[in-house]
Amino acid sequence: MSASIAEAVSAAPDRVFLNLENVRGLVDSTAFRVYVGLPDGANPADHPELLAGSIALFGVRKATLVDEEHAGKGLTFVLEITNIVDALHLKNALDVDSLNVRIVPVKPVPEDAQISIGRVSIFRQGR
Amino acid sequence: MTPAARERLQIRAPMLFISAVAWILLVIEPSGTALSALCSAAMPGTAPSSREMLLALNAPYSLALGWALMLAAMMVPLLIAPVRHVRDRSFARRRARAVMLFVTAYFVVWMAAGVVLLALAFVVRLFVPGSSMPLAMVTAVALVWQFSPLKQRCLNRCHVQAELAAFGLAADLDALRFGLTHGVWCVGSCWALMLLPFVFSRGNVAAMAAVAVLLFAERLNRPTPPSWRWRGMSKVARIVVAQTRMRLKRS
Repeated sequence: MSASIAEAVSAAPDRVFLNLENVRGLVDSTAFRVYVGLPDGANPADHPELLAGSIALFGVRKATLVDEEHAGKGLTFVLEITNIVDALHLKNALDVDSLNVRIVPVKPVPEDAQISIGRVSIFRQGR
Repeated sequence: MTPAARERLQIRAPMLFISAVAWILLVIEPSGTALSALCSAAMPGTAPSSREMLLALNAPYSLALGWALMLAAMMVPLLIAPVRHVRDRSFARRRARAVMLFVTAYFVVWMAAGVVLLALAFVVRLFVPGSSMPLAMVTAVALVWQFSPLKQRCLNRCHVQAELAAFGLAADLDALRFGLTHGVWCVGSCWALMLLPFVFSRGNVAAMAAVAVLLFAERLNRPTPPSWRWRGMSKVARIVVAQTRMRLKRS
């Protein structure tokens, strides 16, 4: 029994994380939903299974200023997308060379918010 | 040891080793370094003819070598955090290259700054030989700079961790750019203190060590809004107190 559990655990897929690094902006009260693997032109609301998570940029203004504690590095968000990647893989819909990441504002973002993302990256962690 | 701690050690250990080797060379073989050339040039009683001889004997390349040794000893420990950032943000196959580009660009900036700083130190020491005036002047400048909001601006920017592209030429250029900008802000932050060891007639390596400790300590402090205030050993003092308390509780 314990051997089969061990096999099941070792056969579990690697964990996959989506990193949104150096998120900067001047308005704290903004929030976004992050979708992974959304087909071009698709309506995000129709694909809740591809929702990686939501991020709220509380503190982003202070984190953007170079002369504050974060030295202008901004915020970094890490979302686990193992289930989404696993599901895409099982459906043969995973293109590892081109994985769409769509970031959709929850409410309209003011023009002066100047939200930017330094780098979007994906990390795989073996179990 | 956790994998993250092992990763940190992989960066910290070789860098501290390089710094330690440079310090050992400075201690056991101070002749031929930029420091000794400048300091001997200003010993009391140095005649004009011997000054000329000193200038002739200290060829630019030997001064550059001495300056590079000083940088290796004093600055390499300051690079642990940015090198870790470059390494963490690069693919495994590109890591060595990215770190080399970053470090090269950083030291190019410091070597260029060395031309100005060594020239300044030479001028000060040669034209006021055997007097305590250079020490007083440079100490005053270093103190004012140490208190100044401009210094804090430079220090804050030394904490900036630039975004680095993952692939291709863009990744190389980003590593180079990060090295250059980090070097510029590091020079801005450290230049005044780096002049200090040159104006002591004796105990220059000890002065260098004291400056290196201060530079390392102030880099541990978090960025803060620029203002006139003393900055230096506060965080190191807190770390030492906390560590001592923890060890005393365990024992």
